[in-house]
Amino acid sequence: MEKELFDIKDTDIRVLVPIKNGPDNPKPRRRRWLWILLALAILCVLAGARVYYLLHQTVIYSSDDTEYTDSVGNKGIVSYMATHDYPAYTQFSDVSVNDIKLIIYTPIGCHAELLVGPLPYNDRNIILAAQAADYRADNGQISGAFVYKGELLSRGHPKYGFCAIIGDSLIMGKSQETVLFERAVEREGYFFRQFSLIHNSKPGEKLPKGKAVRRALCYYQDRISVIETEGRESMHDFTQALMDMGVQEAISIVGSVSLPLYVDASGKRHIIKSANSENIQETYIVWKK
Amino acid sequence: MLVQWLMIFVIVFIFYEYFCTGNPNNSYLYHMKPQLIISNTAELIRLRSEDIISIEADGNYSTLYVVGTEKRVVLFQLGQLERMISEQLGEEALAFVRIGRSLIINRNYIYYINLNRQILIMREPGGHRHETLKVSHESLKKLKDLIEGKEYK
Repeated sequence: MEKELFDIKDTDIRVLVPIKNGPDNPKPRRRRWLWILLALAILCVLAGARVYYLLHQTVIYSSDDTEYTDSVGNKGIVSYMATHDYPAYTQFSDVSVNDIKLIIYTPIGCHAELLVGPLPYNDRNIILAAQAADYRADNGQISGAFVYKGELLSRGHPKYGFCAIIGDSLIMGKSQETVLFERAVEREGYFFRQFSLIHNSKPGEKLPKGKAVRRALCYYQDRISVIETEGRESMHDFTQALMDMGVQEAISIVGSVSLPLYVDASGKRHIIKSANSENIQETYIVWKK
Repeated sequence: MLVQWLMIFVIVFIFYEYFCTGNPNNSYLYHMKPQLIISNTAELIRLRSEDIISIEADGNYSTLYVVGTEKRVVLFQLGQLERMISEQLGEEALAFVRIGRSLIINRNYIYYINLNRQILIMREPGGHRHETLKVSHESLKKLKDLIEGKEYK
């Protein structure tokens, strides 16, 4: 009945009419009881759903590093960002896999968040920064859904991979729909989308072709790391190399010369700036102490 | 004492319906004019009917064009907002017209209709801002007939 009431064709118009739910239209007592019973039944269902949601939520946020399954069955990786490992720094290492040299940046003792705008290079709390979501060339908007401190800055999901930062947890996974998007909005968290390279230790989605310096946000050896290629590689070869080295979950992030800053174990700041990088509007994932 | 209770009873009886139907949150403080309240767990937007110029659908979201503000995206589908308007704004809902599946407009702000170019221009009060909307020829014809007071087919 409601569907019929609100259905409309593309070529139709209609004037909205008031719907009165008030006491103007008194109904027989028997029907009123039926409505009360129906409302109670709905309340019971909602209460049950809420209990299920809360129980489920506990699973996600009580563990350190674990696999996560959300209420619609999507699987992903949760990494609890412990900030007690002082001092904060970026662990730097490299490895060769399938003749591809990979550089691994692992933030230690930091918490992650997203930034929008030019990177504040003078912010001494930043331990590692990398560009996160792509900007679309056609309209200059952020590609895919993007939530910044609970504020929805962009919408749509052209890519299946996602990264959500909610409280102390950074969650990566692959799905077209995920409740973590809503949770990021509700809890003043962060959310962005990128290509899923590896999901549950298996190849992610269909990837674009071409060669470039590749970079990914990875769950590797029980930690979240940023891993990049030293040279120009295809997305396929990069993904294969990550799988061969044992990465369980990975989403691509902006490649090329877009890793602008990290602080090594000795406290030295390594800053990579292009000519006008201080003025460029970009999205960043940053780890802060 | 009895008279006082009787007066209170009479006043409540007279205004009961008005309080219940004229105002979405049943608070007498706001009974002067019904207002649209769009609310979810994270945010709440309160608008009078004359604040809304148009609402555009965008998948699971809708974009509100509000007088004096650029625009605001809400996490509701257009059909849900249509229902809210019908339920909360009372007679004020009659100012709004649903056009196809992707648009609701406040017909008080219609400024210009061009059937050949298939455009509808909405104008903010005071003429500070114009919003040009792309609408099908058939829908525009029906809208034009409606504004002119003709029966549209």
